[in-house]
Amino acid sequence: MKITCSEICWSAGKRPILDRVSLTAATGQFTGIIGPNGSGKSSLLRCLYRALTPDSGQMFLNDREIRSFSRRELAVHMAAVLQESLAECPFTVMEMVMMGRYPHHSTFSSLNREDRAKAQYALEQADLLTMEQAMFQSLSGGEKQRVMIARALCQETPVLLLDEPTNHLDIRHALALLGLIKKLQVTTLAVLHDLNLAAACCDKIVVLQNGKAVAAGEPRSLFTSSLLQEIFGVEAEVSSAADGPYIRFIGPSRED
Amino acid sequence: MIHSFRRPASFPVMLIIMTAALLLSLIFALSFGPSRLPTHTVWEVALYHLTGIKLNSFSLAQEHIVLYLRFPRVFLAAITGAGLAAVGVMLQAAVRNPMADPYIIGVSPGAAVGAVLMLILGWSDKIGQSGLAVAAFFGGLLAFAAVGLMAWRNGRLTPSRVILAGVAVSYLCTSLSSFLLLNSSEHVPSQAILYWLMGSVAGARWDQLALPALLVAAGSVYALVKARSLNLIALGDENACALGVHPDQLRFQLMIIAALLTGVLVSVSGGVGFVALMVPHAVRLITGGDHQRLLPLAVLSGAVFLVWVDLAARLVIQPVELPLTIVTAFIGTPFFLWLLRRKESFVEGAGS
Repeated sequence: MKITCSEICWSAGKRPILDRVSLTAATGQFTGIIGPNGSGKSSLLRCLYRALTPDSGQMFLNDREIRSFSRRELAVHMAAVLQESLAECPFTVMEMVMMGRYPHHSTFSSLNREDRAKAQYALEQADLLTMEQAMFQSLSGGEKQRVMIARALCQETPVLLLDEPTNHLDIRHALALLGLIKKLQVTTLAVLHDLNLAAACCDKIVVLQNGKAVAAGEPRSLFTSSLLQEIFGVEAEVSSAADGPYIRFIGPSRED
Repeated sequence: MIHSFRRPASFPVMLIIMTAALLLSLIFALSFGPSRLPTHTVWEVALYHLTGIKLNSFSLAQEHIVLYLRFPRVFLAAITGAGLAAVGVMLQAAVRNPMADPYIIGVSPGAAVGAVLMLILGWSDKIGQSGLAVAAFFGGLLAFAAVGLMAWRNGRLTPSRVILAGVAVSYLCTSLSSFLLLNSSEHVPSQAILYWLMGSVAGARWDQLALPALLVAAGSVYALVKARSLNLIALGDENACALGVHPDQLRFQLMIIAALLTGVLVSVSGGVGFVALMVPHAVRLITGGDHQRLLPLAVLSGAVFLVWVDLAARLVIQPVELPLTIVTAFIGTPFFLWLLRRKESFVEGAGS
């Protein structure tokens, strides 16, 4: 299932956050979004899962406009792993993951054994099997993030939106997670901060700056010292290894 | 890392226990009261009216007490307790705040102003009990409308705005009630006003039961049907969106239903404090946060709780009848503290 955004604009009050952003995320591919803080990465995802309504522009899953889906229907096609902090959360890990099954049921049908088995499988994938009955609140940041990822897996959607899915994870779990997602071969659109991680796992990368999509391409051709200088304001060396580019950061570029 | 685990309490078992507890509580509360009325007479009257079988003779006065005083008040206590617990569950999820209850959205204080105003103007004699109830109902809804208008922005109600607006309106209403009382002449029945402010089911009548019962049932069923959505909105708006629930729409519905329910309940029982706040929390400590279990058990627990509270209100200082909030506070506070202490690790997580 393909994601297409066409000319998305959204402003917070008078401040434009997204300025005619167009992008596509091809079926089964891992598409990354990178960009400095405040460039509109999360806002773009929020438009897609309908937490925000764009002022103009269109968004499609395959050929169907996203707002023509009912909300529940959309959640059957698209899962999202978010950055929302959950201060008050009186749920167990299992209860949290089972929420991924909610969209698959209409109001009057109830969750069943099959849903439970799927949740269990998702927990196993996220390396959380022993914590099924733990209170979500008692987990560490990384474990919480893995719960949210397990929930998205359990949702079994052809499209996955990820907002910095690895930022609390230790390197083993970060690599395991990205490997797992790539293996699923679902259409993935992920906001990523770690550029080397992005270079390693993305089939395609879209660069946002000041609410505009300014560049897009395969990591190999996209990452250059001049792009990193221009977008992030850093000096860096890009060397190409056999499996993709490798970025070594030198420091913030000098102010001229 | 040590994790806190929940020992899963079996939901069907708890449901059966609480249903049984409610039935026993009703039977117990119906059997005892301040008047010198033998317990067996209560049930003989009931039997006579249900089946026409008269086992023993009883006086007309005894019959009257059982039929027109005790039965309706016990049932009203149960209905009010159940409804307030449901309202508490809905509001705490809707505005994602553990302090949420009918006072914080202005309904209860607003209703009190409506009733106090009628009593002070001396209109209560003309409009009667039902008129007072209507005035309280509209007072409550007016206050809620004020909260809604203040909190409304960009086509949505945000939780923090609702709380702030609600607290502001509540204070205003409480002050208004006090001001009205201060300026009232001496012949205003202070007892009656106290009962409105602090809640009482002493004046319950059969014809007052149908509407609240119906609304409490409808409201609870609505919330139960939406239980999974309540789970999501309680977590956060982004989560709700990502899992297919429109948070603004749901919040709006929940607030309206909670306000209507409270308005009706306050209009018959006055401002009963503590139940809507405390019962959901107490039940949550045992069942966890899943509204599919929390809601039905909270409704049952609320009913049981208020039936006992009313029984205590009747019996503790005879022949004085205590307003309900005095009892809920005295029973509720220590109980709540105990639960908080006992289950501390459960609430906070083991790390804290």
